[in-house]
Amino acid sequence: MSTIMHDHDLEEALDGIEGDRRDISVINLGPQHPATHGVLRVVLTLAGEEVLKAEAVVGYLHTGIEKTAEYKTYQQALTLTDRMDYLAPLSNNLGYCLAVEKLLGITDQIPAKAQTMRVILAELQRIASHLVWLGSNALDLGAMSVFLYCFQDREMILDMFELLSGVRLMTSYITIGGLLADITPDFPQKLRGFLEYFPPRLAEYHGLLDNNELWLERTKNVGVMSQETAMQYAITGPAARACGIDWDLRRDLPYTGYEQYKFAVPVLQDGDVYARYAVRMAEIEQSRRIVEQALAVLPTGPWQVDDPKIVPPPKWQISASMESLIHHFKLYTAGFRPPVGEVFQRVESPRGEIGFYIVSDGSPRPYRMRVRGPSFANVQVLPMIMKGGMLADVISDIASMDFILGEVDR
Amino acid sequence: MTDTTSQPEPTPRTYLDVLRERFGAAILMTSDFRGELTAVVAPEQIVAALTFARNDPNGYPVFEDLTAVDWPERQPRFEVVYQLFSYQSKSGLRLKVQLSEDEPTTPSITDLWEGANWYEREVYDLFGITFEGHPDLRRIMMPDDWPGHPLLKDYPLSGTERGKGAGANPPMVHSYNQRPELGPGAGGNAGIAPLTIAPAAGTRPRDVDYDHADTNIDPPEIQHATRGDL
Repeated sequence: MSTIMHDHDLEEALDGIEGDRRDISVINLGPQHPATHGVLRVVLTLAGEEVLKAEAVVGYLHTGIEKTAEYKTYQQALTLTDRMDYLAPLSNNLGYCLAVEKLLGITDQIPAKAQTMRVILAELQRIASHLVWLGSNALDLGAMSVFLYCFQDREMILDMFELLSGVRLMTSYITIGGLLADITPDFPQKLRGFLEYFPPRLAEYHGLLDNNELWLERTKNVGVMSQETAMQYAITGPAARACGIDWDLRRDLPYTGYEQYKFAVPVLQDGDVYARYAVRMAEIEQSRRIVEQALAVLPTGPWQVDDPKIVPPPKWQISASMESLIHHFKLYTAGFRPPVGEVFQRVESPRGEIGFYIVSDGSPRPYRMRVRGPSFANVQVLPMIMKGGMLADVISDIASMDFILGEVDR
Repeated sequence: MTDTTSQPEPTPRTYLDVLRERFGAAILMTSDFRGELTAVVAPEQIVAALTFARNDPNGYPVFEDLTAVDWPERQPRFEVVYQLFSYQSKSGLRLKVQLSEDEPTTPSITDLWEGANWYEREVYDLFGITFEGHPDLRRIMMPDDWPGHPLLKDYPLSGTERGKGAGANPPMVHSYNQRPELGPGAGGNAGIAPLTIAPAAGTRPRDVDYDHADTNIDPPEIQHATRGDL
């Protein structure tokens, strides 16, 4: 939230600029602006249309999620993670749950059905998130129809989430120890329908944009990020893979059973807006492949660990067994107590690496929950890629980095 | 439990051993919990240890995260946590430095990784820990004139307008919409922000001393804005 450029910065920005072009203007882009994808403020120093200097100002969505988590039990804190990256709540749930499970030491006890469903959900979430990015990126650059198509498809994914959990967005469906509930009987059928429906749609998006003259003009050689910059700024995910960093946690440091599935990791070298577009488009296709494979092997059986100290007993047991009633009561009033220790769990969210650093002091509440979000790094690097570009490119840059301010500010 | 005769397996050599050999007594503590390596480094050697881990061919060249943990009951009180990563060995390394409450200061690592800039600003903002040599140490999440540092354990979860920190279990106090900065988005707030908070007399926001010991400052004076102010 802290502001603004100091005078000496201005002098530095003007260094080497002659004559009329010294007639600069300073523009506030945001925090209320449709192209900032949330409440981001960018202070731009312009000479004509050229960006001399940019400064990103964040903090407008700071809601103290890390602080709040210290006052919640581990199960309660789960719902906070949905609200950080609100376009990929299930990826956040997954990261948090894996971190707590690691802390509890029950990582290898998660039933196969829950593991497979987690993969399916995380990949559907990736498709949904990339569709929002694609639609809004295209909308920002003037292609209205892509936006409408993308949201139509995303709605189908959200419908499936609703079918499972009763909620479209903040599902909290992945819980510590497995899933919130068993999948509904009609879910596999619905998912199969979507997998059949979706490939022609994706082909259509490629057709709309890949060779579109206007799209290429606005994206090729725009907002170039070098590999060196990406390394310095800890950029991860599609933005890093678009500038040649061949790294994907799902392939290289597999979690929740990703090693069982065949998929490619698209990597491009250009580092411009178009490369980030192409990488994400290829990722959508790979995610669809993973979902297809996972659905084919979706096992039956339990969806939660068999440990009443961690997951609540089924409802029917509570009215039949005194012990179950006690477990239920203890779990919802006192919570569980993980051992003293600290863990850092990384997962590949649609935007890159999201890391949960959880410190436990043996109490039922996380002593400290730190979230290392990919969006934070992606916003920090913005001034570097905006500098030297045109004002109109700023919009491309912002859209192509695909950050969520709720996760930046937490 | 049947095989009682075999020797306990020798623990495999980890990067912690490398650090111990290189820095000796400056490695104050190490732990290997759930396969994650952690080393606590003496404050005067932390930058050297980070530089070593970054430049070592078998080390951890990627900066991943920087944060802090507040332990009010411990001495020293603060822990700054550096999370490093290696694409080569596909593993992470956690280095920590402990800082006392009286002097919560550690050198900035923005020279090693430019990307640490915002992470250090965030720790400064939310914990009050300062980073020497940081090019631009300002608040990042909270408004410029915000009193106190929210992630300190003695900073209450809610009811900050009452001033005094209420400890681990703050009373449930109704929290007003008390954003002191009406800010660039003020147009949208005009209908719902009947309060403004005036900084203490005689101080410009930049002059406020944000030393972490000031958590228990007196509450800012709350004034009801007149229609003309909005």
